[in-house]
Amino acid sequence: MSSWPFSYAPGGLVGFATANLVALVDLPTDDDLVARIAALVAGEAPTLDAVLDVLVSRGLRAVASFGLAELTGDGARVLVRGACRAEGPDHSAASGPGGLWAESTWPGVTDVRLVTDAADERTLPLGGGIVFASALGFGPGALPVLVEEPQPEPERDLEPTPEPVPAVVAEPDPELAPEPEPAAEPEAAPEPEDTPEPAPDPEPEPAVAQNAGATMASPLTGPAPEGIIASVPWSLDDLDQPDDGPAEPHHGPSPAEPEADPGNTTDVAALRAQAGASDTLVVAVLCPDGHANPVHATTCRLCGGQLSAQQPVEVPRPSLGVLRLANGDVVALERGAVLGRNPRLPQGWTGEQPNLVRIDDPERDVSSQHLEVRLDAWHVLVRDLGSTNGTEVALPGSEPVLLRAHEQLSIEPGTRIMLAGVFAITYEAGA
Amino acid sequence: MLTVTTGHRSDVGRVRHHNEDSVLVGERIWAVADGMGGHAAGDVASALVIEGLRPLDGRPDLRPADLVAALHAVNDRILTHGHDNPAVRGLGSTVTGLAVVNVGGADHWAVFNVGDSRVYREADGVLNRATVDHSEAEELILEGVITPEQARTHRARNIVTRSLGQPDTPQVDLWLLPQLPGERFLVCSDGLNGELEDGAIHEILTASADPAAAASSLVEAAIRGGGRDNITAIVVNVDGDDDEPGQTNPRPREVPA
Ligand SMILES: [Zn+2]
Repeated sequence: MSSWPFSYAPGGLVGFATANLVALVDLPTDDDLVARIAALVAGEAPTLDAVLDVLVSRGLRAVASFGLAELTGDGARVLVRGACRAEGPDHSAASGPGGLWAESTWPGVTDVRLVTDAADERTLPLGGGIVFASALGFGPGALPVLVEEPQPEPERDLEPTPEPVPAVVAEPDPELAPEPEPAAEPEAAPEPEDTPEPAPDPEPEPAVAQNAGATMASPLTGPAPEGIIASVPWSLDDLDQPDDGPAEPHHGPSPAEPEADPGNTTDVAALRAQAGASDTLVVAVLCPDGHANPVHATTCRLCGGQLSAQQPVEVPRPSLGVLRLANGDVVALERGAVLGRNPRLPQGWTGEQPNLVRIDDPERDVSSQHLEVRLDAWHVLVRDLGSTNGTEVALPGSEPVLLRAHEQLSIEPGTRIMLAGVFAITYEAGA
Repeated sequence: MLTVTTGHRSDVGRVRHHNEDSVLVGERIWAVADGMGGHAAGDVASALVIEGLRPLDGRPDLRPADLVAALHAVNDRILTHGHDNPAVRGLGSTVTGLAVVNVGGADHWAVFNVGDSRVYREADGVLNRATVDHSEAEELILEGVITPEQARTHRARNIVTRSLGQPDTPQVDLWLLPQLPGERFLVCSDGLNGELEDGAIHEILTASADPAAAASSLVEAAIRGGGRDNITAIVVNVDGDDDEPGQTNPRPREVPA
């Protein structure tokens, strides 16, 4: 390789450059994701998709700012988010507020640069590897001393240039797939013998990289110099990534990403304001111990603690307690329930699948479909499903009353329920 | 009396190099765990799950809470393993399955799930999902951002929002169902439903009455469909007579005033 394939500007993000791929991510170096990307970059034929899969592995929005650019042969594929933007001849890309990211394809473009607002104006060429950067792209940066004719010599053994840029690349082996020395042996797992010992090489090698300062070219290439890489609590051998890369079933842009519209983004942020949004959400106030309670409660339903005036929050609904059956067994009220000798989903049931609780009753006093228990926000509602022998309900401190068929009644902890006069159930609060 | 017959099959698929799925095929509990973490870590995590569940198999008095407690213990064990072995830090596993539990004196199915593996239930010619995926894709579906069909290939499909091996004890989804003759269950890792639509799964399942043959056909179809992940399927057939139905006995009752 005769010229520097990449260039970068120093900065606080982590930049990866290899083969036809550059990545700029706003993550601390001791983050596992950085380690996993490093492993990908060190491996064979890393792809933009594989790196993206790592970046979203903790959640689609886990990494606020990153940029990825890949040369595809007929152009460049660019994906940016947050503070990272991409620039190229006649092209640029930036993500809008709140979207997932902006993805674009730039036909015929090979000159792509990932930049940030804070991009340092100083630029240095790069052979590849991992750098602290504020900008990173394909093509040599402007550095006069390097603009020389291609050296037709075997670039393997000697560095292409003499002294001028000592700090840049500790080892600019251009094809850089830096031999991960603790051998990221993909399988053959349980044979520790043939696998090179995972880096029990405490020899600090102080000479190599201390002068590299912030540049730290490809820390994965050489033995770990104490103080720089040893502070990175991951090692390559735990980074074999069979969960990433080619196994992912998505080959094209995924449906929620409008691919035909370069620079467009998918705005689902508003829809996903809540983590764990698949759960039923309720508005709650919290006791000093963190138990969620209905907004108008004055004492905690679990611990009795005082509930101070506070801004209500939306939380996944906690378990509303349990139904304790006659023999002491409990059915958790994390969802509704239908009880009977042969319980089925009532017709027209909507929402979450309830527990279907079979009552063992050889005398057949209890009906097949006897009682329905529904959860509605913080309320527990019971309904007799038209049973033959009826349902009695005694709210705490009150006499039992016979439920009218199909009429809903809200019950409180301490309520006793009797099915057909033979099967007793108590509603208890508590987790 | 009900009789339960099962068959299962697990395959590494066409892309992965080793199988990180682990499977438990017992007498009263059946489960699939899909390990995550790579480089042997995934195998270890899913094996820890199965080891943690296996002791439950011999218990005729198993309660739903025992199942949840066992999975919480597994969560801690995976965490501990990760702490003790920094090389496999971050390992984890999904788990999904079916167990016989006793509630109020009657046997029930407990369908349980943490993660994006699935249990399907087939009865009266209809196939339904008995579990809800804990994945970003599922959340996007619930929000109406993508359709279920898009989700099968969406990037978010593989992003699991709940798993075992987490510092925060994960909530275990558990559903109680009565045991009914004629019903069938499919317990599978996402490598199966990632390659096969629900309709295809239903067709293949109904084409083979024998559970072992059905499990094999399903896994082979998923391999033909791409086999991009490990694929595991357990098929559970429930046969026999239902002794429960029958007319309820009306009886005179005194209604308290
Ligand atoms: Zn409290």
